[in-house]
Amino acid sequence: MPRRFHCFSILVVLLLLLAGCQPVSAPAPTNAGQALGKHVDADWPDMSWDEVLAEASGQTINWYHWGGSDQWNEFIGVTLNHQAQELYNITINPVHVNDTAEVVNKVLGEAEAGRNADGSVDLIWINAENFITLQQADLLFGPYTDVLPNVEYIDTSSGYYNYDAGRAISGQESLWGTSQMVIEYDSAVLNPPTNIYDFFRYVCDNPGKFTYPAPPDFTGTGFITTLLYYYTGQTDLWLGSPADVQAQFDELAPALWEALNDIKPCLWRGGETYPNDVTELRELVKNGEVAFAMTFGYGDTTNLIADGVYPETMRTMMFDTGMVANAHYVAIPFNSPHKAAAMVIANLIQSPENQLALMRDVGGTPAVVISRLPQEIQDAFAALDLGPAAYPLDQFTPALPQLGDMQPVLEQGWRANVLEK
Amino acid sequence: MMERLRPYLMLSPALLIIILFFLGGLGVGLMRSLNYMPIIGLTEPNLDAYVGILTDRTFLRSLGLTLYIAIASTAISMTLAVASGLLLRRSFRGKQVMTFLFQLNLPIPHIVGAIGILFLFTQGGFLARAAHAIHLIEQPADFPELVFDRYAIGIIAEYVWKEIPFIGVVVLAILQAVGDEYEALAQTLGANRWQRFRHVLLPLILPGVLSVSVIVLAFTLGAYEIPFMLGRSFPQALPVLAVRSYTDPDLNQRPQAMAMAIVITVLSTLLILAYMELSRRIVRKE
Repeated sequence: MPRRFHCFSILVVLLLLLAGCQPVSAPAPTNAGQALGKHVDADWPDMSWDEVLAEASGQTINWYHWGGSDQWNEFIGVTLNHQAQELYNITINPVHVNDTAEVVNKVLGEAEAGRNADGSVDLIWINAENFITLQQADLLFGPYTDVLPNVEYIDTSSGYYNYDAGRAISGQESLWGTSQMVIEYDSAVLNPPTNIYDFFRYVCDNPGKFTYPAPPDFTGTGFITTLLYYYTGQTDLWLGSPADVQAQFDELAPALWEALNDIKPCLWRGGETYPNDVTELRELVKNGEVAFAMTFGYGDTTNLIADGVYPETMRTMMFDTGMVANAHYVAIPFNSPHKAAAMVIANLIQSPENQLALMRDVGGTPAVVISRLPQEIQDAFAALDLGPAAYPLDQFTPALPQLGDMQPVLEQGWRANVLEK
Repeated sequence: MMERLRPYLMLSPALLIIILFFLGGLGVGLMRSLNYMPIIGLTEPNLDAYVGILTDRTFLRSLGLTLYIAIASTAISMTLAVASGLLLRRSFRGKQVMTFLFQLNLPIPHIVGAIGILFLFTQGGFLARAAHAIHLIEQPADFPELVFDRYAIGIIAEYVWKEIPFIGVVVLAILQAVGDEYEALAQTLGANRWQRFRHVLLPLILPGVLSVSVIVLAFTLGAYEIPFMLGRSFPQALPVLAVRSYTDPDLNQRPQAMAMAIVITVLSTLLILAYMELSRRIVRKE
């Protein structure tokens, strides 16, 4: 008998492994809210926020998020978790992933397996193509973003709130933070103008000191997207699908290719080769080969100065016509058993205090409109000492949208018309 | 019966892995490269992907660059390794130290070598700064382009640095086995130094040197990380180009990526066959 039991348990273990079972750390679902009657899965959207709070109390959520940054991990796992327990009796169980695409595949897999009610993912830190994949497959809960009480601090007419990588959000992911591209330069040797035309003339007066990461690198693509809007004079047009705007793109994009080819001789290595990503570009800055870099990370420059990588004189700038920006969000899968608690956390991270903490503790930029916040939080924002390298919050230029389906077209166009020319 | 099956059974774990992962992967890759993917409704195999890449200037330039890098790296490493082997064979003071230094970088990974090349040879690197400090050049940027350069000098330098001791170990081992009687004999027959090398030593070491060079050639043809780290944005080495197509969000690029991978495989196989045939002929002739 014991022997047969062994075989049986080995078989069970193997089957569990094959089934890609639920993580052991995931706690059992709790149903404290059910006693009070209303339940998100049954009654949504006919629920008041108080009823959501009532259901959420006592729940534990599995929050899947990219775990590559100690600062963010601590913010989620400690700071926010502590608040959630104190204020709402909710426990956050952070689940770290290397790539959010893993979570997307997990939810897709659960949907394919017919697991429609008791999913293992309650909240995902997400944006852009991962959001698009889940929304296309109709695997997201919502709309819920306008129900969150802290939405009063957010500009609901903004591009951030309504579109992610060119796709309509339709209330299926709620804002957490934003990031707008900045250009880094060494103010000891440079004083670049902020108009794009003047900037490139300045680049040519200081040959070899500027370059950008080669698209399809994320930051490099962001840079040439910024220029696409300027040289074609069109912003909204490119948010559609290639099928609709290919003809206009073929007609207007040559202005962009021409501008990029014109500055090529002034770039590092004569524009014959480009760094692969921001890390390589910064390596060139560190070596003194170039004097410019660029980034989507608002706090990066200050941190790199503090770490002694960058000279004290490094500063940031934005083009006066705007820079490409993106936002990051949280979304709730369709099969989460703890949607109420997930919504409460989605609201919690939009609170004035936590938007301040986002900037102060992890170097992000807020999703809220600062002038709408309580006066003491506004004062706290003004009093934040982010160092001279951080671009002043009140001087941000327009946030230009990232491309959606047109992005590969732009990247391939750059290779064919600029790099390989 | 059992006795006859036994070697197969004992080999089966290794065979299974080779068949499943290598041949299986190759088979799936081949199918995808032929636009055959029943899961997404592609059931009519065709050669579109191959026609596509073989008429694409980007691909052809990558192919040329890859062949150039592989052949140049192998030829240079082989020549220098043989020369060093011959030098290290003699006895001289400090020979042990020199042999140790010669083989020192054998266990060092290629990536580390590439980072070393970056530290030393970029225009903001150690050598550029040193040359600037002693006023050889006016500013560090005047340092010659040795990395990310047109002639792939950085890539070839990394391969040569790493492969010399690799080939060299084989050369030293063969030389040790050969001993010096043959040469001594040739010397008594009046052969000069060059003749002794050309007609005695070289034929003895050539088969071994050639077979280890084939390994180096095949490796440099298919390696990704060094050309990725030290190469230009255009043209890129074939493996770098293939990975880029494979990770392109445009799914239509996948068959082309697979076709590139198949071309790399066929190419290395052909080169290895040619190399082996060549070495066989040379050996027979000698």
